Amino acid sequence: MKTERIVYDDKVVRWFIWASVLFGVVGLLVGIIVALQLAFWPANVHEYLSFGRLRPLHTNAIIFAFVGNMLFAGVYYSTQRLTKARTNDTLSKIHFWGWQAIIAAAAITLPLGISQAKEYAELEWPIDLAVAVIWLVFAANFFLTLKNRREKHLYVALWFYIATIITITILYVVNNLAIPVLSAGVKSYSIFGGAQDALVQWWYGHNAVAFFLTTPILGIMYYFLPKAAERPVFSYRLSIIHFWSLVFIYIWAGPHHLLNTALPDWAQTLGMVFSLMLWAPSWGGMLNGLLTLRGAWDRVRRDPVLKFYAVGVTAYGMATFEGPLLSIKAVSGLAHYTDWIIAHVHAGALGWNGFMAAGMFYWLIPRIYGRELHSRAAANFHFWIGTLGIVLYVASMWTAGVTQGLMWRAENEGGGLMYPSFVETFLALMPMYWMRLVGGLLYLVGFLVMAWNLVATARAGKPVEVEVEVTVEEKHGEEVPWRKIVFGAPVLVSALVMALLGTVAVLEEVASVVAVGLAVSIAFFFILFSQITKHTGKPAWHALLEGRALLFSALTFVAVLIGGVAEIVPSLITVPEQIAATRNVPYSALELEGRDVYIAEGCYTCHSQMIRPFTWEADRYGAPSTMDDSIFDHPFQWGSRRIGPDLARVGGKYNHTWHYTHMLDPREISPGSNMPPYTHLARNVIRFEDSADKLRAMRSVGVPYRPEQIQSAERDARAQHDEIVGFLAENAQVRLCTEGLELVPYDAPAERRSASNACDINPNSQLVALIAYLQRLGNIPAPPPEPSSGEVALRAEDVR
Amino acid sequence: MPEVRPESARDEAASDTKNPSTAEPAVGRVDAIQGEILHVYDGIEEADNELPNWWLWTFYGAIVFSVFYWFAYHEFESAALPPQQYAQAMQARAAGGEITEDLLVALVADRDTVSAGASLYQTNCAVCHADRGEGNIGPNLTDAFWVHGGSALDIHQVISEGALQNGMPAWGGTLGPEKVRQLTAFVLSIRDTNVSGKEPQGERWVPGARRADEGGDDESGDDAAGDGTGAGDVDDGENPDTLDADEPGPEAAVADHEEDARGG
Repeated sequence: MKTERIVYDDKVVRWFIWASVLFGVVGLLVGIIVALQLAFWPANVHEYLSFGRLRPLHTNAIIFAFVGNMLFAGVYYSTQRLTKARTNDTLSKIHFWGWQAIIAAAAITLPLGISQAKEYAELEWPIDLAVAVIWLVFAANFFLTLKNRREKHLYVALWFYIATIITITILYVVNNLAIPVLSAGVKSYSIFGGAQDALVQWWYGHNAVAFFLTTPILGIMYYFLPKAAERPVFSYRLSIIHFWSLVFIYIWAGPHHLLNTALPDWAQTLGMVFSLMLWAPSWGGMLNGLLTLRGAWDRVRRDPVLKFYAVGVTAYGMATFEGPLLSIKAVSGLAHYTDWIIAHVHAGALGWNGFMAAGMFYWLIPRIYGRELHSRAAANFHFWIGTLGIVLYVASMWTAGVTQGLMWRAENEGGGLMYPSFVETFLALMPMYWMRLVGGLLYLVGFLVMAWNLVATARAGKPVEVEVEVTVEEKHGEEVPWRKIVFGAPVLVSALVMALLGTVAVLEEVASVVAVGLAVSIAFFFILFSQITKHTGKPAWHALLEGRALLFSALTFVAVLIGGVAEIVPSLITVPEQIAATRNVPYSALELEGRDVYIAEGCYTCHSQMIRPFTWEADRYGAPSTMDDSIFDHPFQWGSRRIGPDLARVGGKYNHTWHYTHMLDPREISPGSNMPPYTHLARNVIRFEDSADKLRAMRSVGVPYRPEQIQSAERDARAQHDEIVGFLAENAQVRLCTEGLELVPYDAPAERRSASNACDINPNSQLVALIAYLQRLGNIPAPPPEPSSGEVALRAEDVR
Repeated sequence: MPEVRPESARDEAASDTKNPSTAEPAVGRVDAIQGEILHVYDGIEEADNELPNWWLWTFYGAIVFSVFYWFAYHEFESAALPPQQYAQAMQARAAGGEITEDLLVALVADRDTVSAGASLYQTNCAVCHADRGEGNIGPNLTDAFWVHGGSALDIHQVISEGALQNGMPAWGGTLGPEKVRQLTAFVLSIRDTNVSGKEPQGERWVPGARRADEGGDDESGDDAAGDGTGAGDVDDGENPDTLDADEPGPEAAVADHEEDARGG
């Protein structure tokens, strides 16, 4: 036995902790602001700070800045100790500063409306590229440390880190595939459209939650919870079972965000049933956490660290029970688009992520600064006020969600809607919205107390260099060849079972029953067989695998790939077929420009464009949406929450004047509405010179614009613009700004607005484009006459 | 693993260790609660307890349920998926009764119906037609002039199906047949009460005349010049081009909207 002395790099851990604390405060503060904006619309004080732009900032700040920095701190600290190897200082430095630069870029671009309009994937392509590069730096640092490890076997925490790094790489890259429109600033269009984009986005969105907010935190739980409790981890075999079932099943569950939509039914059902199957694997993690506290429950009473862990893990258990529940199609019918989902994610974010972070910080800071926690009482205060905040937040949003869901669907005996006015269903939630704000504020107060407590601790202490003496395991004997592991019985049997289950997709129903029966029998007998033969003294297959980081990573990669490929690929190959059969036509140049305004303003954060097949939805919004409705939508804009009504068929429902007035002063049309006024849209102008480039980019992602449409994009946009302006001038005395006239905003005093040199909208305003887009929703124009093929060929040359 | 921990941290830990495992972490140690220790990583002991049976059965149960669900809905199609349930509900609805002029006029006599209609009016209509029907964005409902005809059936149809080219939404879907009847009864009750308000729009309605009857053809003659989308289109639930920006309706109901809104 040889011993070596190594010094761990805890500097990077300290940096990441402080960054996490800082961005935690920022993210929570933005959360308070958006919560206030929902209850009190005048809090939308500026175009850059309106709800639609701040909401993505809130979610991105919490996920990538707060939890991101926290998980990096936890991973760097624990990985070095579990591998008995120091991470690479240069890579750590690049990783840290690169990540903070990305956060800064996000904080600037999101309020500016530079957005891909895909939830938690709003960041535009240059930042996406930076994220990918920095993530790979992190991956390199992590895997090099694994390679240099002085401990052969990988502890379960490392399994979860491996799954995190591999899966996030796949998800992030695929979901952000987009074609940039270089002339239009930082702007891109998703290469996926409509239902396919929805599927890819929620495969990403769901698994960002899974593999960014869950698996790394589970790894952190497996390291820090037994450390803090000083108790043995409950069960190694539970770790194995729940790790593999979790990473394999999680990836399939994405379509549960799209239940009862126009997504094909088979994909919806897969999303639902895999979510149900995910319940037990998720609870496996909770059990291994909570049961590790056996023998330490008396200390939970006294030790704030364990308090945070106990509640954090419990919140995880609650959220992962609620998740499968919400994934049942009928429950989703009630809960989708409502605040129930907001309650669900905040139980996870505030309870699980927030409290696991707090537990880790309170445990780590004293150790890496060599000083006892400044105030245990303050930490206890943080715990109680934080818990109260979560309870208020979650309870109010549950109530709000169920209330609104029931109001939307309430029908009177005659078959009409009991609450036909959407605003009515929203105003009913007001008390809950204020209560949510109080809950959030309490949570923020607790977090600020923590920040003060940690800073005071660090200032009293000084950074500790932890030097340890490690024994290096000597290699003994021959390594088992990798083929024996990769083609070991568990892998072969799993592959066989999955192949049999996969045949269901192509077989007739009776043959499918046989295939599934066979698969279940094989699985059953394999489990039975391995139970009987497990005490033979030979090293178990999994124990061998744990010694081989590369093989472990490769198998994890395969496990997470299967679900995504099985769901996304069949959907993608039907696209050409759908485009050939579509009744839809691509947006006009002006409508496309209006759509970009819709995206920049973050309208999708409050409005869905997806009417579900329920009578009460059809009564309120029109016929249920079809895949064809959004076939040319790059990116899709189905939305996930209805703060306001669905817009899938709003086109033609009201006239231009209605939209004009409603955008500038929503309450003039819809008293009680909490929609922010968009007066800046009358001022901000669009460069129609770039419209052709946008159509060209759309064409490159598969939208069948004809060359002559691209060529005449600018002219067409101006013509349609003039038509709408003409209508507004005639019917609402809207004055277009020309030389010598001064734009007076809609909310200016009446005497200024009626001045003889006042005008209402700039030429080429975003507002007119947005009206054109809204009037087009669900309102498919007759297809233009087909030109002869010779003409197309001729014109194609002009376009180049 | 003898990790060199900062002095103070060790003290803090020591003050806390009134727990069963004060023993040094070691493989093979038998913990009083967690049982035999299988591995130790960086001082973290790992036991190997049996999986709780209820947990296992939850897992198996979910898998079995999922298999049955798939077969019921997607293989044997013995249960209706949401789109099919929707189609069934819509079919059940189509079996409805017929509305006549007489029926609607008769309703005006029913005080409950009219008062129900009045409160519906306040919630849904007063924004555009003003509190007493004197007109605002939408036309005055209390005078003798009607844009789409003033008979009970005309009014019922406009409420139900809208006059989309003039900005009047269709309320039939959101309110349902019963509330549309109540609303019609209320509007009939204020018809010809001549509340001073917005100037007359449309044509003077002569009792007995009816514009929008079954085919909706009557209107097309009048409107052909200015409005390509006649009442015929309104009947069609799909409404491919209900609002044509280039073809504003003959009487743009929103013409005075801005002044009115600012004035009030």
